Amino acid sequence: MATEGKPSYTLRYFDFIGIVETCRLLLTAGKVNWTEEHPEWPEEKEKQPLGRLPVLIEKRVDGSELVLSESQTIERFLARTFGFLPMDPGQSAIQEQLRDQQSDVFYSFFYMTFVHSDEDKKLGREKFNDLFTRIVNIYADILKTNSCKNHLFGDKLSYADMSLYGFLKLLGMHSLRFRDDACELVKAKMTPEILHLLSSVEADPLLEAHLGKCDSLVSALSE
Amino acid sequence: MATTNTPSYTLRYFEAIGLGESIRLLLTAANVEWTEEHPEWPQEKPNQPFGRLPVLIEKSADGSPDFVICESGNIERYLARTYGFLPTDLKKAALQEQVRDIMSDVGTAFAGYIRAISEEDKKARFEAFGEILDKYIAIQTKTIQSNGNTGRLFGDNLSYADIVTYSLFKNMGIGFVKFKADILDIVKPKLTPEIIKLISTVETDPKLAKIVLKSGNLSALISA
Repeated sequence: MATEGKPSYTLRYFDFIGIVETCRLLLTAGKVNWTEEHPEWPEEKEKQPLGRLPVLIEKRVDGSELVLSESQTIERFLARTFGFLPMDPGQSAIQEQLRDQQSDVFYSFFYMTFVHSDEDKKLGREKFNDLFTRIVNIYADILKTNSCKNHLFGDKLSYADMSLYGFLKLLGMHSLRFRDDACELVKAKMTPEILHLLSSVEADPLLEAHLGKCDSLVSALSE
Repeated sequence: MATTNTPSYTLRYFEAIGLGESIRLLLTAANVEWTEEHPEWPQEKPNQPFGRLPVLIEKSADGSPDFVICESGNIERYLARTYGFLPTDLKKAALQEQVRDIMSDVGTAFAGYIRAISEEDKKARFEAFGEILDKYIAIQTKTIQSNGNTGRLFGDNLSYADIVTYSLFKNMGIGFVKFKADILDIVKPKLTPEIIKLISTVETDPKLAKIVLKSGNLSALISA
């Protein structure tokens, strides 16, 4: 696959799944040259534009560079650049709002995990349950109305597909060190239709180079 | 000038600056017809697509079904792109969008501080909030300086980045007062001349005249 003439990318992040799995999927599906850097932390903190990670560096063939921060900005930039978000702003907004809502779910997940008092934990748990149930139902409804059941929108891999996969992978497979019921919490809300969608993403040839090296999310959520 | 072919909008949100202000400013600058609804809360929660606010409803002029979207950042970006306040160039747009995304981190840090109960937690979270706010101010200041120090972050005209930056400081100075009465006293000394100039540039922009001072005069408060 010819990548000459195309920019190459460096993704700077910590050496775990974290908030950038969707970025990794986008870079893979974009069929560009890309690498990942894991800066020493916090030694390299002040070298980052916003003192935070992730950072994306796009190096163009003429030597110029674009440096971006903020995971959601990076995701949308890659999705638009590689054609995984619709050009129409309205259709794009329908996909973007799902990812934006994920942030609120993450926040409530970590909040309920790290608060101390029993009362706070109870309220935190209720809020997470409400937000997570709601977002899963929204995804399920979208699948119901899409004639192609392998994707959330249209019949090709999209930003929405990849960001759902990244989101569930973080919560369901890579949050066990925070709470040992993380996988169970996610599994409880999965429907056959969503698992089918996740299988399609996992089997998509565009993502083989990355997901081929990873454990299966679908297996983790099905067993 | 809005024609009868342009859509009209309803913004559903709380009666607060919060996450609605940038949307109000964008709708005003776009010079479109729009109104605001303040749903009874939490009674109307189940009636919202994501159970949350804000919600934007776009009504087309030709009677086709309403277009409804959620998530404040998403609504802002949609309006900014549709009405020309974000560049069409993807890279330039991304440089503005990250301004808004880091702004959310500042808001989240503040919310974390407000939630803290123990004195130890309060202290730690307040320091974390201060640190991220300082960093945000430093970055914005540098950007304003590299843009010719005209009180704008990018280019020569009112931009998405200008609007969302203004809204953040409006919350810091006015919106958040109900959570921390002395927030303005804490934030004021941190403001650089460049940020103060941005605030006044946005507040005096004719495109925003109809609405910008409705939620308060931030420039006046800062110079008091």
